[in-house]
Amino acid sequence: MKAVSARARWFSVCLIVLAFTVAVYRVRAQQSSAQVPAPTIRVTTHMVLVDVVVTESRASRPPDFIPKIL
Amino acid sequence: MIEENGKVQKIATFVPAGENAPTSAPPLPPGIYSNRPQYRSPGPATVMLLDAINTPFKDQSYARRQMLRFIQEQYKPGQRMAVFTLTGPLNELQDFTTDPQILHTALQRYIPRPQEFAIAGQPTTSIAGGNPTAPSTVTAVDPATAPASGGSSTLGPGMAQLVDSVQQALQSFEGAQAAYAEDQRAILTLNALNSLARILGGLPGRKNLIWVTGNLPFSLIPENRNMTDAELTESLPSLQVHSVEQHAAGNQAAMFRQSHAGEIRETAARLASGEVAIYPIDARGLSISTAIDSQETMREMARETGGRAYVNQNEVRMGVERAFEDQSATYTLGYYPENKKYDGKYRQLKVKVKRDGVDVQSRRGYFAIDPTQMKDYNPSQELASALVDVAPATLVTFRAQAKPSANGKLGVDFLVDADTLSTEDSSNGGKKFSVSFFAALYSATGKMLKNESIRANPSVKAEDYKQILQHGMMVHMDLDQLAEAKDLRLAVRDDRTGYVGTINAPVPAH
Repeated sequence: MKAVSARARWFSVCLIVLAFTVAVYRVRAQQSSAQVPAPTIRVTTHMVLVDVVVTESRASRPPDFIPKIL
Repeated sequence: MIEENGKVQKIATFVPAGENAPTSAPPLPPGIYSNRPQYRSPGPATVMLLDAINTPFKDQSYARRQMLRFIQEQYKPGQRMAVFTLTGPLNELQDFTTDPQILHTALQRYIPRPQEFAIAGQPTTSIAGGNPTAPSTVTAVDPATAPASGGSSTLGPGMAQLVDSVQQALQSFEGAQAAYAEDQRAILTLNALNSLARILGGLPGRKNLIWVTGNLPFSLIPENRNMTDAELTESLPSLQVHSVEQHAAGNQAAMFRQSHAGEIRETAARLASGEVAIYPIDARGLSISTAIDSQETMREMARETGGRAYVNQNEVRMGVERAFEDQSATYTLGYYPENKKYDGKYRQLKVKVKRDGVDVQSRRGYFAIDPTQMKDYNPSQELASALVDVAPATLVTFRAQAKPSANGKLGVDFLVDADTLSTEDSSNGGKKFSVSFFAALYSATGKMLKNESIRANPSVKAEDYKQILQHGMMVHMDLDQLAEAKDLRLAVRDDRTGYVGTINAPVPAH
């Protein structure tokens, strides 16, 4: 029963998204027929993620005050 | 506070330890597959890599015993680990699990093996082992003292010259053979790191890669980075016998780094953006050998990725325990660099804390490489590699369902998480995607039987983009049904960045 409902949910999600995807392609087709390609602007923004290991000296235990010390 | 090349950056995100780990999700319905993090590794991810190609046979046995003891005596409930082996290609011994019994069984299954590309008779445990410039193992033959029949006096000048030239030719051949073997090992290792970057890169948070090895064939350290005083102090023993230039990595490691600088730089960038910290564990344990350069390479690999090296110490399992302890003391900072020029150059990072008495450990820098501008990137090769990886690539995540269609074909539905795809901005405020979808059928023996692909470059309005972000991007593909097909491998590639996601699934019965 659980599997059936999950499958039904998946199917309904698929239908929604499929309908939407069709809309997306319709938009694309309209653009093509007008022969005016949409100009694109390249904006490259990368967030740099840095993992930091903070331990009390001579111990591996993490201190509990991290948000206050950075 | 975080500095990039000495300039303070504005921190945009701060994630406390453990808070960016995905929570486990309910099981997927039958016939639906996903490479999303919650299905790959809910919780912090640690990978143990047993490196057989860079580790002599006897050291592999010692390391295996140590790892078995670690699992038996020190593995804590809730710790999650996967075990891979590098025996040529990368292999998966055990997928992510928190069950120590499963890990123990997997490690017991692992049989140490002779090194690939090892040179017969070469003392691979020593620093000279893989160095083509080291003295040859060909027995030196001095024409003047050679025990030729009748004694050396019987050798005329012509014969002595011949013996000398043969000896030189043999030494030259052996040197070339050793250099080739080292090069092959380094290439296999680099490929394995790229595979791991694809497999781990999409899992949120820091991933610890515990690399149990006897020797790293190259370092990720940039050619122009200067060592800090602390690093020089840590490496003092090796500085006593080597100049700083030599010390930057082992001789062979430095040679490979020079000849493959571009690929190494891009691999380092992938590992950094995938938040993979490397913990090299010297499988040789406590050693009085002269393997100083290789230990230094391990230290450098750890420094560059934010991990720690555990070298020249007994009880190497303690190094594994330390890696797990670091996992629970990790915090993630994020910032948008003030310097927007992605010129591929190395940028040094420094994290400072306001309080004394704490140790701060993080990666030392990163290469400012725009993934859309990678020079050595080959999209077809990247996809082919991802399809044969031993675990799903996670840089693009999606769900998929395969079922027989009414038209007699095998229908495949992809539902891609659009937040894992890059876009270009359109002038009308919309977005443009560039995505390729692949499906390949494989036989039971792993032979590719057939493949199909679709390319999609939709431009969407801003409001439609929000909908796609919320619901995903769906694409349907039909494949011919083949009786001998057993496995279905699916891939989605972001054609701008080259990032790939893959899923392996059994072919449904038709």
